[in-house]
Amino acid sequence: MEVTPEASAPQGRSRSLAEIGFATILVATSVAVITTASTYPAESAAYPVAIGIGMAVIGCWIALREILRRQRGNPMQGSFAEHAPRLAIGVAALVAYFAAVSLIGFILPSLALCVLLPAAVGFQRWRLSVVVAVVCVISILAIFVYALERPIPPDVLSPYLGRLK
Amino acid sequence: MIDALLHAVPLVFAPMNILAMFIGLIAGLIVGCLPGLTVVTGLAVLIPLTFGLDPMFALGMMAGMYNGGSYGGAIPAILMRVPGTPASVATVLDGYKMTQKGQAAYALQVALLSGVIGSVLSSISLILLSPPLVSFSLMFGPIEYFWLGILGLATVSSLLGDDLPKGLIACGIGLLIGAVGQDISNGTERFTFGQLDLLDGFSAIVLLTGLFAVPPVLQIVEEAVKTGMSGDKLKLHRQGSALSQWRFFTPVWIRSSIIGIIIGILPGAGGSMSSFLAYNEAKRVARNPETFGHGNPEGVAASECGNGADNAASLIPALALGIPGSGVAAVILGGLLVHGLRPGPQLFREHPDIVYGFMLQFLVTSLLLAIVGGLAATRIFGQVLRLPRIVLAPVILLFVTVGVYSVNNSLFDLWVLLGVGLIGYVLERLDYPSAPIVLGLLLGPMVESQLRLALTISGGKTTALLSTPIAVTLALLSAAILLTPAWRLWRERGKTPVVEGAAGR
Repeated sequence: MEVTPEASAPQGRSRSLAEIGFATILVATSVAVITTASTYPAESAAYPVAIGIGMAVIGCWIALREILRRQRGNPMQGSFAEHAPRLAIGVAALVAYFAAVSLIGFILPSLALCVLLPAAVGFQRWRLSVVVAVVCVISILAIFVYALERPIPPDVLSPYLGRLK
Repeated sequence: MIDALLHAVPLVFAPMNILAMFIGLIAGLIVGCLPGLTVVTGLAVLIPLTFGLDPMFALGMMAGMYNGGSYGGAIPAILMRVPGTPASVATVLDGYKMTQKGQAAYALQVALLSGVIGSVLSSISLILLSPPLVSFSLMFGPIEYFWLGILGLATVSSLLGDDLPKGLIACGIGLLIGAVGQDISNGTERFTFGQLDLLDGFSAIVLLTGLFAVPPVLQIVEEAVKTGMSGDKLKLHRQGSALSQWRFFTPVWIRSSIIGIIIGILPGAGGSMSSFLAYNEAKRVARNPETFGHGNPEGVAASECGNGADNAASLIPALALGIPGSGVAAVILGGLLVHGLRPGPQLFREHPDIVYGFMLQFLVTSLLLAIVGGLAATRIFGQVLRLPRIVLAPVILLFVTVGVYSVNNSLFDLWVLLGVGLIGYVLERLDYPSAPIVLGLLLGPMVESQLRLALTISGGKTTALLSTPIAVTLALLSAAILLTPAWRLWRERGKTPVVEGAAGR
């Protein structure tokens, strides 16, 4: 984010296909909305159908605009992902984290995420990651669970936490 | 108004609420000074965490975070040439040059004092201008409220991005999400697909947290910055007093504050626009404009004062009419709704102590910023800049997870958070603005219900929607705002040769 004249989007890379693909998904979703809403009573259907029609029209507009730009040799500049492999790691980590939280609770997946996610993208200062993970999880437990008595997802370590209270 | 303000004073100065303002300021300062995280992200993380707390405590933290985050962006802008927030980009121009000349501490002092003055004047404008706007809105019925909702949606969709169709799509997504759940008028379940969790619709708090807090996490992972700032840069020592030079800075502060307040009130503007306009104006009237960009403290003062001055002012239409003028105001509006406070005349009538207390909290946090943002404090809180940014990504996610889960004790909400976050990331990458989605979710149900009410009262006559002068005015304003981008494009094409694809990134 440093302010330099070169800080603009990378030249020569285009996110044109992503633009068209996303607009197409929007149009398909809008059609599904219209179809689904049409089965509701007229009073309840009118509002979502109107929005769906509007979105479908604008989605087509965006997709067509980008297709025309491509045909004229001026597709939308800039890449969709700055670094696709790291983005994939990030998305996978998030999905794995929420799945683990659903299965075994908050504490262990959170510790693992704080240590493993930075490591997965090349951060090798393990000691710092572990300190941040432990301080962060203990702070959250101290403030939200003990001080504010707020719930955390059901945790396999809950019996031990109960004893600490 | 005076009575309500006096009633709110004990609430604002209750020890716990002062603590909340301090916590909010410090958190805002930290969020603001971390490049890649904005005030909106900070608020999106904060709001679910404050769910269930006393409203004044929660609002105090929000006010603190807004003002703290606004100044926090100046710290890396001055020390590292990296703006912490988009609004501090103009501060880089002269702030970093001052650091190169060995005047970092002085530059930070000028930025702080200017930010404080801008924020204080902005808070006073919020207190003075909101009540008259509320009195005006008392003349509104269902028809006017319908058009007011449309005006808000048109404004945010049209002005908060560079591309009107994308703004409208974002708004449509928000309106559709707002339509999920049971139709209040006849009990029809819309888009619930048999899921009990969706019967009451999507939670606004989960949606805004997913949209604004998850995409920065993915962006930090993508950038994978593995080093922090050198600790030497935080060895700051006092270098003269900006306060003692008040005669020199006063004209800049007055001009920049006026610009910031006006830009703040105007829908769709604010943030970087106010700081850049204030900077340009200071440069235009300066005796030595050529010194701007080469370490002129007036440049730092103008940018930070303009930036601070649009903070509270952007809440004037949000609090009085329920129509936010900026992305931050839209998120704060969501925060108010989470605590059962619906902005508009009803809020001023039913909870005057809270609404005036919130406005006073903006004023108090503006003043407290002078303490929390001082050099000693900057040395302490600025240490966060030494942390490699990559370790912060999971930390943000942990706080978001705890906050969102505790709203409804629901694991389903965590999956919604993830889904919305991923969609939010895609939208951000393709330059679809996120604020219209939140506004669509918040205003959609109101627009639909007021439209139905208006049509029921008029016996189904659609012409009734334009039957009052206020309704016609609001409708014309909405149309004008939606046509502005097209008109601008047409004018630009008339002036310059057409360059296809120029509207892109």
